[in-house]
Amino acid sequence: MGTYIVRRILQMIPVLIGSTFLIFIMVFALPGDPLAGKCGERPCPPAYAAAFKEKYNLNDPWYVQYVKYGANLAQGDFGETYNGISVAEQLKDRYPVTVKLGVMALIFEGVIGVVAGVLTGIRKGGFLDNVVLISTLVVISIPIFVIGGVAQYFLGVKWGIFPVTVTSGEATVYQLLLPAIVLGSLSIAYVARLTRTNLAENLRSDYVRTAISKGLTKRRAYGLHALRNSLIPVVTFMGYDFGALLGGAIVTESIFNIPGIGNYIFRSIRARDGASVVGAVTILVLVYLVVNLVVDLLYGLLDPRISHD
Amino acid sequence: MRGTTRTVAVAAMSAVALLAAGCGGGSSDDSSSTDAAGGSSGGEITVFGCNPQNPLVPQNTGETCGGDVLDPVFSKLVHYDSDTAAPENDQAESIETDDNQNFTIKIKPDLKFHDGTPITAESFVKAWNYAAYAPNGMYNGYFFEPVEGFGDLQCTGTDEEDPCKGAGKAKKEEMSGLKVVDDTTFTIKTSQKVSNLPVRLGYQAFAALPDAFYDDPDAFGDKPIGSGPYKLEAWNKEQSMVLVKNEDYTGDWPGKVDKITFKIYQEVDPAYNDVLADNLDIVTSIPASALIDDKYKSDLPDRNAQKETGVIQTMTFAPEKVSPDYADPKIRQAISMAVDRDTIITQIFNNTKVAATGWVSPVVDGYKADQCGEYCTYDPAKAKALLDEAGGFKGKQITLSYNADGGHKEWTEATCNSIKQALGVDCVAKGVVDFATFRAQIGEGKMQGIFRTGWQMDYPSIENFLAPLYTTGASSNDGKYSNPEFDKLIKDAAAATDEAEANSLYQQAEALLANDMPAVPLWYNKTVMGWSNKVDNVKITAFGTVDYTAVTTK
Amino acid sequence: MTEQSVVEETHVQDPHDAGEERSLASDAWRAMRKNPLFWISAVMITVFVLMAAFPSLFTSTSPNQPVLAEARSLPGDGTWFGRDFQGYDIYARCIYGARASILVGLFTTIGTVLVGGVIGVMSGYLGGWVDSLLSRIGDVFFAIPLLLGAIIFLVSLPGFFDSNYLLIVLKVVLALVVLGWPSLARLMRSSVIQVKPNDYVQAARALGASPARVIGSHILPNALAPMIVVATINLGAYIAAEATLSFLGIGLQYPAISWGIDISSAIIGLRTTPHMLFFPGLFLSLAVLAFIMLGDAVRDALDPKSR
Repeated sequence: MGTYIVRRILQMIPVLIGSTFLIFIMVFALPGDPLAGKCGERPCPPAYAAAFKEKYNLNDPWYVQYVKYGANLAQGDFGETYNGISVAEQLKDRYPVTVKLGVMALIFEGVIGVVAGVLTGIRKGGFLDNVVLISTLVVISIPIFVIGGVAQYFLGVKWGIFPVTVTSGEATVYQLLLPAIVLGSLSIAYVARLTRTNLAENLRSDYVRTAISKGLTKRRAYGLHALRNSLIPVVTFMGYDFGALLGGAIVTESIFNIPGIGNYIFRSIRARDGASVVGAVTILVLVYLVVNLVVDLLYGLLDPRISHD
Repeated sequence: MRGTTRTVAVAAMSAVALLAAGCGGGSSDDSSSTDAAGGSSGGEITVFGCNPQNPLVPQNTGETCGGDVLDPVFSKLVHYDSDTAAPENDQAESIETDDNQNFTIKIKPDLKFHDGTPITAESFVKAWNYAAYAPNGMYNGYFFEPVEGFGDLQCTGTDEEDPCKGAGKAKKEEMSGLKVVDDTTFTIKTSQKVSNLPVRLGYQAFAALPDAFYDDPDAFGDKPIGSGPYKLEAWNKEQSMVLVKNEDYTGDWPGKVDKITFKIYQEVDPAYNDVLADNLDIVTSIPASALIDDKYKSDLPDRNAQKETGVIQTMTFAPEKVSPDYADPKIRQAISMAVDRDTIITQIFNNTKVAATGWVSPVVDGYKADQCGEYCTYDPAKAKALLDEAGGFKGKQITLSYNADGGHKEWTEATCNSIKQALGVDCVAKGVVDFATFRAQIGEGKMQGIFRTGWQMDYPSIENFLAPLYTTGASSNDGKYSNPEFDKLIKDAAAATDEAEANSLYQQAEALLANDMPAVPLWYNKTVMGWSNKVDNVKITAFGTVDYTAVTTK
Repeated sequence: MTEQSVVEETHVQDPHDAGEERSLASDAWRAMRKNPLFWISAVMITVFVLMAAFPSLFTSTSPNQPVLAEARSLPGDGTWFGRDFQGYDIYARCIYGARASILVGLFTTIGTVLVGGVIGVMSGYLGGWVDSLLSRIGDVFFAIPLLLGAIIFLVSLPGFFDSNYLLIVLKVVLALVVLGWPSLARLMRSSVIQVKPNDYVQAARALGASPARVIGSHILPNALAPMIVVATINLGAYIAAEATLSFLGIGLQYPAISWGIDISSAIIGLRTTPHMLFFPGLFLSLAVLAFIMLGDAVRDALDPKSR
């Protein structure tokens, strides 16, 4: 087990370096000049431009910039945005909001998805099954920006049930509820279907039949044995999904004006603010890799058939 | 000469009147205040804000996100009336000149910065020199170009990366045209005659800076010390900027509310929704979604206002060298006549623009209507005839480029469709990924065909809509337009000592643009704002900003 | 995010079915025929493909002839679905929009299957350091969230890609392929690894069959089924991804006509002119639904356990 973890962590290093390098190159290749937008409808004064370029090493070739950036990053220095704001500060302010949003979305999709999955999995092929099946398909098919916009308008603006926007860095659970529901809605379908398939499969398995024939109540046999085993892949999926939710929050965050990481990355790409993009994505990738590792380890714990030795 | 001084004198009188009104407003507000914090509180408001692009130093801020906050923090020599944009003396006691080249400025005695240090003639001169000195890299440095000796403060090196290197270093650190006479008097000598210098002095580039700035410019940029009716209390990066009322303010335009919080938004839509829910008090623009069918008027009944501002939108033709297909003025005029401005304004802009009839915004002194004449009137038949007369369009298709990050897609597409339908020539609206790239392409002369251009005035003068845009080699002459006759008229106008005469010369210069059509006037902007149930007296200035000193709470 | 979940769900084919590829296919076909979802989705896909290939069958109105004065008009008055902000006929736009969406979905699916398939087979068949290297490279791309990566990628592509219709479509395809292939590579790799130790594969190798032959006639047929399922579902997901990118203003653009572009420009009319949003949104959702439903039906048919 220990060697497995060490090996996995060692494998993470090249992946982390590789993906940040990839992002860095792409950000570097962004067309245009970070300066041109800063001076309104006129070219920047040459002296202003020179001072700016000097400050952000923009005169160096990309590999020199990368080495300088990497060296700083290794020391925990994330650099500054073109507005002169510390990237590390920004990330520290923004990650908690996005993580909170992601966790809430995860809980939402987990609860609703598993309930729907259980309802349909017990009676596969029944009326309820078909209703849930079709409705989850429909939800997958509607783009998230449409769901988000509609939800914001009706639940926020029109009926005033939820706050319209979040804006504040110290967002409350209530403020994040609607965005989390929107963000998690896409994955509900997957959680529901995964639960359904696995549950249906396990219900027909020998051990459940044995349990029932041994006199266990149906409820107990289903709940204790079948459901528990069926949830293993669901938990795995949700683990992987967490990373995706963090990165996929761009649209949700922009609709609800949540000062989170997705919004930040999107704007930074627009402003071709390399330090912000690479810094934020590096952490995103790191979170993703760590969560993956944890999920894999958890998988081993939940399912004794899988061994990491 | 006399023209100029007289304007200022009249302005000073109206300022006194305003002062009285301001006091009245303030006291009545005090009595109705219910703020629990006690004292002479005028309440607190929260308004729309966005991320400043630069440190908050008036000499280094040229965009509205920072400018909106700095405006109430820094008083200037001249104050622009929020209704008419007419200049009135603020920190200046008098601004006098006999020849439009030598100006004597007297400032009011006993003015103080927020940190208690006195504002003297030196505070202005030093700040201006600092801004003009190129190695300091101040964005607004170009405002001092008219001052004699400005050139000595510029870097002349040919090194692309750093023109200030080695021999290219600026020769001097102070402009010879600025002289401190005594504590409250200084003089400006310009290198050429400038008839509207006093009008320019209300721009924030000309604000005075306290000594604290020079001690630590970076710290100052985070928490500027100004002299205006409001003090900056805190700037929470990416979240909010908080202004509190300056209790020691002695000027004529004191603030009414005690605290203004600029809440930073990335988009207008959420801000607008917050105003609907009374979570935000003022939103300085209305998102497109609420403009459709005047939705905002039913959303915010009696809580919206619109006003024409000093902004014009144009389409500029790439220089002849770059796109020869558009060089013939007849083709340019035909294209201008093919644009159905009225329908586009109704359908795309929901009447938040005003069709342009010339190159100068109606809000400034010296504006003359219909300078563009029939060429800015939609007439597809005539447009087609004019195009045929010029031998038709030789290129493959007309392209109209825009920056894709600024909400220009809709109107460029509609404009192109209008041109296509009128002229029978294919027209494509081409998005360039963002403003940075867009401007870079224009600057490098790589942008072809037609591209969108917009101009927001720096100061309310007809000159500001012509000289920086269309004189040969001017900083924002994107179409590389060059017409000696035009240049001469601009120069003569700057030298004219009589305001009416100057305006008339500027108008003659503008009329020349109709013949050459370096840029097609499209429309003038209107600023539309909305506010919550909690505030009152929201006034839009000619610059399209809120007059924060006038706002009151209900 | 979508692909990966699908991978999780898909069961790799039982190796025992290996020699019965033909009968498996006919079994699957028999099962599929009985599934109404299959027929519904097949009909829908046929209609959308026809729309993409021959839009003029469905409408004689050009999608590029606006009547600005009638912009935002409601359905009726000579237009089926009304007009949009520019005064374009929404019905015509919906019909013509099918092409870009289907092309993006199709090309991206083909691209990811080819790239992911080849890399997955190499990785699984060769094993050793090649496998480690390719897997790590896959991880690098996989770790970057699809939407974010696509945005950076699209923004950093040179302007050359904006010059004509096909290039604009290819640009989006390229972005989605670059970030989408690892999930299919993983799927393929695990299929190959499961099949490889089987006796018949070892026998074929021992008899001197070339790697190409072993892969072609023994490994691929077994690994293909899960690939088809995932690819069909992904096709729908990629159509939706294109719309999201277009919504953010960096996907397709003029002169391409796509549902995503139309939804993106109509979204501001959500409160005032929802019909402009509704119709392209409906077409998009139906197209995505059709492909996901088909993938679902195919999976059910191929998965012996669900029968």
